[in-house]
Amino acid sequence: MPIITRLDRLLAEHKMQLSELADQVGISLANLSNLKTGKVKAIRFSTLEKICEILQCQPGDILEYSQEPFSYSEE
Amino acid sequence: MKENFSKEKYEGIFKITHFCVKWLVRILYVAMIVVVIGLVAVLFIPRSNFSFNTNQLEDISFQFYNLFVRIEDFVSEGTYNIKSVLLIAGVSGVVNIGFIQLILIGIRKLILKVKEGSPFDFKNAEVLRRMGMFFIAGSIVLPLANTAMMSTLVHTFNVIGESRVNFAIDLQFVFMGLLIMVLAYVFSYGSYLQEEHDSTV
Repeated sequence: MPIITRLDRLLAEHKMQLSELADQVGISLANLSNLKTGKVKAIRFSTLEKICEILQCQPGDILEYSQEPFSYSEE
Repeated sequence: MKENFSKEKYEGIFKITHFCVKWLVRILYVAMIVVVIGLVAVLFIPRSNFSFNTNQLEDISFQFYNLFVRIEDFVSEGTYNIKSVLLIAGVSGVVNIGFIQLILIGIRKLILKVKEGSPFDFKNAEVLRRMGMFFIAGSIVLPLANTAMMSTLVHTFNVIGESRVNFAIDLQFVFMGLLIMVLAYVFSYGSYLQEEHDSTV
């Protein structure tokens, strides 16, 4: 999928666990994990807004467009 | 203003329907076994044991819709062999019970999935599609089985008068089948939307 998420990089910068972020955003850990590994098809603006608010970042910091095939296992 | 979705409103209906369908399926399994055993027994019992004298039909009557009929008025006097009648009645019974059973099993699968909280599932759409096809097939098979039974009855007992048994496709079943297949498409599309919704965070 051309849209990739850089969530784990941001979590590492903020020294935050995925479960902690999931609690604060208000979505399940499973869904957030799917977002992190690129298994979701879409993200709501409300979810993106909360993530940006908690991680003090811009949507562009979380989402990246890449035409080349990307594997999350490389991260 | 959007109305909030509440499953509680339908819980009672699900419970009652599931209970009724569950017990109907069980009863029909028993009925099917009884009919099949009877059929096999009739098949192997010698024909000579099936002589039937119509004098035994005295004072027997039945109601057909609003018509009250005395059997002895329609059947010629005499002794008849009813083995073929019983065989055809057994086959017709198996076909009719089998059809109802297939529909009820489909309904039971649907209700179980709905109770689990996933009404829009591709498997439900497939169940509905098959039920639609059963109804369309049933529009031919059921009248055929019932016509065969009535025809055998009429010819065995030399029913009085110019008796004729006509075969006709049951158009109500055809219409029901087509309607259910349209619902199957709706559920299929609903399943696609559900999948899209589930993969959105």
